[in-house]
Amino acid sequence: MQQYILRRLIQMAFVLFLFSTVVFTVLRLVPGDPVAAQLGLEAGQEAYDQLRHEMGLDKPIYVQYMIWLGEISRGDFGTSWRSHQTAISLIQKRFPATIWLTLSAMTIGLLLSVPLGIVSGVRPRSALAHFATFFSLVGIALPSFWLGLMLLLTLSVSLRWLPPSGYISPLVDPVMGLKFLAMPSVTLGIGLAAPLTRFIRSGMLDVMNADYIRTARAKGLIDRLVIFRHALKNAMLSVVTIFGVLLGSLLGGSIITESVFNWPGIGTLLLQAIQQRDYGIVQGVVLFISLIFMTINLLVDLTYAYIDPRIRYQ
Amino acid sequence: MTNPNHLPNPLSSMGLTRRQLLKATVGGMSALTLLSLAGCQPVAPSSAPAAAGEAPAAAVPSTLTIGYDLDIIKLDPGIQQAGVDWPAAALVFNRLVEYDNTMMDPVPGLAESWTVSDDGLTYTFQLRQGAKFHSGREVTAEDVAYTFTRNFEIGSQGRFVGYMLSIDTFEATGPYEFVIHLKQQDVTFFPNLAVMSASIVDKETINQVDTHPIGSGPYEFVEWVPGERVVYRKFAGYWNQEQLAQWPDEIVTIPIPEVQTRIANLQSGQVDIATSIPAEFFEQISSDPNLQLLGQEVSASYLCLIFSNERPPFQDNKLLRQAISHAIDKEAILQNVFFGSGESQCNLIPSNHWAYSELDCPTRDLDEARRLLAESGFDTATKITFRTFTGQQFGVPVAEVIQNNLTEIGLNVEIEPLEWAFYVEDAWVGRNFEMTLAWYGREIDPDGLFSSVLRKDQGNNPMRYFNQEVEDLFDKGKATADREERKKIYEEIMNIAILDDTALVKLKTMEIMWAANKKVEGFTLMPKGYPNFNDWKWVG
Amino acid sequence: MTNISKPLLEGDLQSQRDESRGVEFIKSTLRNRLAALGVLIVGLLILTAILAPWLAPYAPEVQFSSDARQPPSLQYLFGTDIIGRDNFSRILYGTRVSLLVGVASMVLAATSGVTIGLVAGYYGGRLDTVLMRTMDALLAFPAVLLAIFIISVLGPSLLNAILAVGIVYMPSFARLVRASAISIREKEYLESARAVGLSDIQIMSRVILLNSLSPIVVQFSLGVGYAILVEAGLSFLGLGVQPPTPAWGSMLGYGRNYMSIAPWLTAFPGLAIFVTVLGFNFVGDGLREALDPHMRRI
Repeated sequence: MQQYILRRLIQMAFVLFLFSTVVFTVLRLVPGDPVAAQLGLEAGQEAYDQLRHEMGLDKPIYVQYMIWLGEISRGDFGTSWRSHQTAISLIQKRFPATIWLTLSAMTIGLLLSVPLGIVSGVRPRSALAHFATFFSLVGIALPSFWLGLMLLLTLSVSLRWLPPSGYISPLVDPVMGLKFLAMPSVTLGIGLAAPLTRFIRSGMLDVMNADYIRTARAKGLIDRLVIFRHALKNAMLSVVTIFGVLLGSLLGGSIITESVFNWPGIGTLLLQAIQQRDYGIVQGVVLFISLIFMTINLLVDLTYAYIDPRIRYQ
Repeated sequence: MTNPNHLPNPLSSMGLTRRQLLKATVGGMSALTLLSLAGCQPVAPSSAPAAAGEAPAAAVPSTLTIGYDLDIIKLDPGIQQAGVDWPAAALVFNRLVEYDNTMMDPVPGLAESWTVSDDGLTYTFQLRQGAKFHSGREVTAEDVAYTFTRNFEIGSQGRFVGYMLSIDTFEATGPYEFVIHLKQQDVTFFPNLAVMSASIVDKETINQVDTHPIGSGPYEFVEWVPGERVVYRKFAGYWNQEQLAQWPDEIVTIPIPEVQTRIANLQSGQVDIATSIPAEFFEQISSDPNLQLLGQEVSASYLCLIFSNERPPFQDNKLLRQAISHAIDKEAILQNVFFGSGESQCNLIPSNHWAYSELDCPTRDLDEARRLLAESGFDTATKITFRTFTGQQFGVPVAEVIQNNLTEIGLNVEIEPLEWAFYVEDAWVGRNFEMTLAWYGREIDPDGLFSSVLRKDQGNNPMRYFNQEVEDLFDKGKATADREERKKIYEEIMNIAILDDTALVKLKTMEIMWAANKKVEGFTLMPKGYPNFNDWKWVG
Repeated sequence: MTNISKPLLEGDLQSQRDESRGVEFIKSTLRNRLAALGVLIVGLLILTAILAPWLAPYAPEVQFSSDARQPPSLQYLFGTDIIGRDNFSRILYGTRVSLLVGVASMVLAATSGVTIGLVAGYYGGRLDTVLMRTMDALLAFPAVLLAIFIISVLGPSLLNAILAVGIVYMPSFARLVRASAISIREKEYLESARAVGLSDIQIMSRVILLNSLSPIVVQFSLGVGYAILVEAGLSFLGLGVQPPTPAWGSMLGYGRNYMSIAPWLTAFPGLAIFVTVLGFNFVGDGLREALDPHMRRI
């Protein structure tokens, strides 16, 4: 067991290393550099060369790479050339907003999709099931920035019900916090609910037709009990599955919704850093996101093995 | 658009084994565990000073919130380049002199008074006594001298040196006296002392100037949360208490890049001022009784098409450039892309400027354009690459109109839109273009307005235009004090460089417009499009 | 589509007890009608793409500068954009770009993803680990961010949008095919295939690929819709297909500043995207029902 964990950790470190090396190289091959972003249009070539020299960007790429490796090994994951804040501190500041948005979008997505999905899975030919199908297709086909802007124009510009953008932790100010959260999480939530509904529906359908359900039916258990004891339980397992997958992707992935509602999350942090060629931040955030993903993967594998002893660590 | 990649449709679940299902299940939970491990619980900073976008409370402290289109780039006024950094310098620091609304006749800043020698070469400044840095230390002539020295050391990375080329020596001749000697007469020098890069910095705290700047301005820097907000708090020890009393306790700037969102924030009162309002929103804002537009429809900033003199096809082909200037439908650009805002006359100096003179501008004349094109000997089968920038809403549509116009006279033009950072590095600094869109926002003095554009080897001259006659005229203009005479000189330059050489085609002046609610009174944008933070009042 | 006269299985009898057969039939036909509608939509889209030059009243790049920002009228069915181009013609031509982005990126994603999945699943071992960890690493990154990253490297263009979307989707196909490859790998008929002397490549392409064809096809048709949406999202951020090429995503992105003064500039491209994504989803769902044995039993 320990050996397995150790091996996985080594593997993880290797992949992280590889990943960040690729990002490091790619960033420096991308046209446009921090010097251009910092000096703007009006400085001359001389200023560019000078600043490039000061930032160490005139060195050959492998030398820059060695320097960067040295920094990483000292625990320095990058610093913004603009604010001189470290990638780690910026991520710490942005992450709560991302978590809030992710969780509330998830909640809305589940509140919409679970009932719709279950009903349409259990009664696949009911009117509600057709509505659910329709709803999920519409939700899938709507571009989220369009939905977001429409919400913005109606709910906050015309009706003045909600503030158009901003963020404050609901723990600090619950009322304002939730008001800020409302539109972005509904926008994201609808986008989530649509595919979730379909997923739950087909999960229910699968289970309803599984052998053990039929056995239960054959034993004479009534329909409703069958559904709730067996089908629902099993279907929910797959729901939570998707919940997990979606959670992972949402943590950094709601970038378009974030930019419509000016939500200070990880996604916009990375987007801005890419646009401003803030190498230190891009590298830091990329490392962070992939680290999270791989850690989750490792924990998942371990937990799975714990639950199902048949799995061997090979 | 929520990650379609990760939105597993029912089908892809077919490919998931039970193990994968469970794996993902646990993944959902462990993500949370991990967060708490990382110490990143969803808790906002406990201090939480006026969270981004929070409505200014009626009670104390009063807060002015400004929604900017960009986040701050640099706090150090010696290095700052962008307009978005302006408040950071204007609020936190003082200059020797400060801009008036015309940006031509500075008003006293840290210097209470000044005298100029008869030959115009020596400026003697008397500093205000009792002006303090936010650290509590008094500002002396030593600090001014330190600032100048530092800025000359920063050199071309900052903007100061470019403005101060005429300075020969400077020195602190007493605790409150500062003297500058010029090499030659320079009418542009004095107003330029008010530029933000001439902000007087505190020698003792200079090591934190880029993270927590300390100056002598009316507001203290509180914090910058990148991408979220910058907070400034009133400095009780400011020398001008009378002005200070008219201003709110706090000023917060928030970056809101999406223009719709920025305006929505203004309309709903989340911000009091929204910057960079594109022309398509003017009507919407002016029809709102609670809002006011601030700024100028005709400013000293202008949009133009520039040609490279370092490579074909425009190098040494004046006729081809002239053909293009006759083909472009500037009126269509003005009316359609910019909703009629601005002016399209060809003088680089705007018509509301004292140095403006009416020129014999080329009119749109396709026959003339075709004739010039034929005469130029340019092979119309050759493709011309036209680089433009994205990120500004107009960058592409303007290029599309021009492309369409040039197609009409038989040219084969391909548009290449570049992301801003790439545009700056490759097209601008790297001078890698045949023809490209350029957006100049320069000084108020006619020399500043376009000398850096048309003079040899200047940063704003990536086209590498050079004409000795023009160089000589610029030198003459800079050394001439009489406005009428100067005006004639610049008219001459225009006739040579713009009308004859067609170094560039000016498309239109650019509007510089902000919008505010009625909580601010008397707030203005100066000709360059920067806010005047001196003459305004907070009415809450 | 194929289950109009499906045999009723015993398990279904109970759930259908309370529903009359007639109603059941109508509803099932309805469901298939959705698929038929999807086929119709996609067919019309393809026709539009091919016939755009004949259907469009104007060339998509022609500017009527004196008629800029005209609301929909008989002359300009969907109005004109800010520089006076006919919105209707641009949307017709935009079908080409959107379909091209959708289909080409899926072809790219499917061919590369399927190859990787096959090789990984069939050979297993270290190769499998390396390939699938790479795919995982790609998946570790939010799709839109990954696409943004790729486009930042390559620069925004039609081809690069296709590449970016294709790369982003590659892992989905790889995982799909790997899963079926693994499940088939140990089956007896593979043994016999080997015994007959089929090479690895032959086994992979003939046996495994054939067996996992149906999920691939379904994934493909659903993916086209998603790809069109991703392109629209990229265009919103200014990274999609670049003007003057008429593409729905960039039309929508560029029109967003005019949502209040010229709503037709966002409404019509939005509608076009909506209908297209819907169409491909109808087809995908229909295909799944037809091909998936689990679904067929309902």
